[in-house]
Amino acid sequence: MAAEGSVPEVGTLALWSALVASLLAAWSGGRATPRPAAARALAGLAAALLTGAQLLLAWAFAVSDMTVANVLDNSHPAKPLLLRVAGSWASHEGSLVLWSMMTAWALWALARHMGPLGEAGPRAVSALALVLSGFLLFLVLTSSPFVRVPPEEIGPGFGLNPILQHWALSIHPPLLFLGYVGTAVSFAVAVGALWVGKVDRAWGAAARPWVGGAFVALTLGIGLGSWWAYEELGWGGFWFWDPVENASLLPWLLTGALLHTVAAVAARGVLRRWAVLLAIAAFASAIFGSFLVRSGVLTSVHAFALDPARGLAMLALAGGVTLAGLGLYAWRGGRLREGAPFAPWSRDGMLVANNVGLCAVAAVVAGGTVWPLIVEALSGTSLHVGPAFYVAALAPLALGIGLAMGPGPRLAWRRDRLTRTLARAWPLAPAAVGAAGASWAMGGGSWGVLGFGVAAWVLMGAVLDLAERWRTGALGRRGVGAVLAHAGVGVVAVAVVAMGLSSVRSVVLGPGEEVVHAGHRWIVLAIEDRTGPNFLERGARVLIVPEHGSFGREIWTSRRVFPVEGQVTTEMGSWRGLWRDLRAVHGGEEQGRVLLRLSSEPLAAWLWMGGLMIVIGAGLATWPKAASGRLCGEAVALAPGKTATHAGHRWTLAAGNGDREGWGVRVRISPAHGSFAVEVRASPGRAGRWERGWRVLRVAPLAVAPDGRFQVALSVGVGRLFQAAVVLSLTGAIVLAWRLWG
Amino acid sequence: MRVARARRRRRIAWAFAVVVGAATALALALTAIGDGVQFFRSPTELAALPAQPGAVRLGGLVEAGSVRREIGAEGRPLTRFRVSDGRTSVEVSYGGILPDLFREGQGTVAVGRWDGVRLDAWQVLARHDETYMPPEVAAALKASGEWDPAHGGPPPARRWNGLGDGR
Repeated sequence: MAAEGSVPEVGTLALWSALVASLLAAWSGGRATPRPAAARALAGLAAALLTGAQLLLAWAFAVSDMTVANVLDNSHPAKPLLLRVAGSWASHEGSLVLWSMMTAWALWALARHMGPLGEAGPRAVSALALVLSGFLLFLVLTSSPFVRVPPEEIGPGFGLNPILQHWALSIHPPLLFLGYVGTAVSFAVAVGALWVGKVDRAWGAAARPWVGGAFVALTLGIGLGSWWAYEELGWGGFWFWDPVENASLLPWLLTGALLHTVAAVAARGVLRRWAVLLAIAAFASAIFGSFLVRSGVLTSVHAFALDPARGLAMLALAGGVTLAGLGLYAWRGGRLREGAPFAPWSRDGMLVANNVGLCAVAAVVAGGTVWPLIVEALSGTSLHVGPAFYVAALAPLALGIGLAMGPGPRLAWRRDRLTRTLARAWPLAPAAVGAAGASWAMGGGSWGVLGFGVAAWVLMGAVLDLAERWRTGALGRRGVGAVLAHAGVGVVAVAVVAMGLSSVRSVVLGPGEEVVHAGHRWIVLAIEDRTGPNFLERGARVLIVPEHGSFGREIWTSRRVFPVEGQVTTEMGSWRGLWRDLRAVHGGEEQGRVLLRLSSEPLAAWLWMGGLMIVIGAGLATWPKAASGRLCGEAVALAPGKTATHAGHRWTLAAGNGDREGWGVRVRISPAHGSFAVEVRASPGRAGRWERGWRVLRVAPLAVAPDGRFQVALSVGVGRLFQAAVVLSLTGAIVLAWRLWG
Repeated sequence: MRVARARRRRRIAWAFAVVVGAATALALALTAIGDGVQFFRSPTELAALPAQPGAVRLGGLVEAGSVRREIGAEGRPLTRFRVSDGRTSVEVSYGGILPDLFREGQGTVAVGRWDGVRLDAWQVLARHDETYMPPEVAAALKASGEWDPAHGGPPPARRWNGLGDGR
């Protein structure tokens, strides 16, 4: 009884404790002499506490604890278990808990891997901990999910919108949040560099994995949301230029630009200030976007209603973070030194073009999104900016970006000659002209012709890039990733243009009747009733057969009634294929005949394939090197026989040998106040480990210094014993909880 | 000296790039804004207007008992209904499939062409969340005097159709 009654109170306590831990972590990383180890431990503590809070909330949803207001408002015992648990992050409060938990995880990861950032590392941790503290304060003061319901109001629960009961929509918000958290990490990494006044190539290399992670998560999140809209709403189309969609697109565009800029910083040390500014802008766009979405200021089909106090608090938070970032830039940005200059016709110059293009797209999207607000504030006229605006304004920009993408990656850094580019990149032109000509011959419109031409240009650019990297032996993991991501953009472009050519028709058919549409016969076989776990449905079985073929496919499209929620949803039926999707949407019944919206969406599958290529490519291109990725702790240079002290241990280089080709070290580790020692071996790509009880002590080789000393990184981490204990105790806790409450 | 000149040149190049980017975005946005802007009208406003050249966005409540489904040419479905703000109602015709949350007595937004008598809609929207009232619908209700936020929340859906009667 006591145990059951205390879940929300324990959750509240966990949130407050996490706030304290996060503030302390910010202080540990931000004080005059930073304490990285303390910051790391506190970040871990905050992550554990917030994971606990999220689990408690999920638990309350899983067991349908209707004494918790958040559960009462957003869940119902009749819903399937997985959807109940997913409901724990569907509401405003729950999503903030999830956001905070992910930020705490990212904070812990950053604290564990801050080594490559050098001096800026602890400052970055401090900045991210401050951001987390701000959100936690917002959470505990205005939006706690652990508020109790007065006993007289306890009821069976108000359910969750059935249209949102879809697996893609259960993981789409978490992924998008992960992307937003990623922009927060990029922001923190940039702020850390501003704090110490140093942005250099090493910073670029260290920042790249974080920016890449943010980009990958944002791409996955947006892609899944768009896939859901295409599959579940069934209206055809995958992007509706809704303000909420636009709000998620802005950080994606800016992070995509930042990804390229950070690569330029890492390779050449150029565009340093711009990279910092872009990181600040990306995070600002993410939180302002969330504010616009969550506050209900914008008219949107996705809008949540939010009370004004929360809206104001969120605006203050967004404004505070942005002003802090920009203020720090104004104060410290002047100290940053720029790299060597470059000519406009160079890879650096093309990266600038990419950035200008993506930022212009972001500016247009942001302008179109807030334009109605401005007009309404100034003149009181209410208007809506429709898709036609975005298509007309963005298509030329997209074509420009595509044109730069073709030859861009093959240009030399710093300066290149047009004649040399022409000699190397000439196959772009026939590919583009060929595709445009083919599209024109098949009767495509002017945008179709241009779009297919530029898509072919981009794809051919990726092929040329791949061929040249292959020839010169520069086809590393990063190269493959970059080529794959660019090819993915080309594939997405093909799909976007092709889906503009979809054909739609609404018909009314009775059982046994048929119609010919998009080269297929659509035959209604039967209209019938079915029963599902928490719904009843009535729909039509439709057989689709190619006009000049013999085999077909039977699909089912229906209207579902959810008795608990008292809502109706439409289930689309589709025959998916590599070249086209054939879809039928149930539109109600009329005197024993069914209303159907039939459509053919050419190359729809390419959109998701291209998106996946971008995700995998960006991941490959930005994943840190194995050795440096595992690095944390301290880098030291040791001559044979010399000793360094780190984390309460003495690390003595017993022996080192080798040259550039292959080298290795043996390091003897002994506790500072102990008499025994253990010797570990390490060579490049293979760190030495000593599992010492709860901890693991690691030696990662970095380089052989010219003076014959060996550079190694010494670090201490969570040992296998500790990991096993955590897993065991968590399992035990779950089993115990099950016995107590189940 | 050379460094200073190179730095200045670089600043100029940067300023140039930023100006070009901003100017392009602005120019494209300004030329395109005419294509995409749809003015929101309440039924009372729309009824007073002559035929409009561009797209119109009509927000209000679907009048109860007004929805009629017909089968038009070539077996195409056609739906007719009236959208009301409690004072005036306007006829809408729509040839597509209505969204799930489209109900009589509920808020809706219809986008289409106004010929002075009827709105020929190509898009009809209802919201994902049935407890949520679109700001446009709320504005139409407030403008017609059917809902004063100072006196509490919006009128319940079941009453919307009868609003404005007896006046």
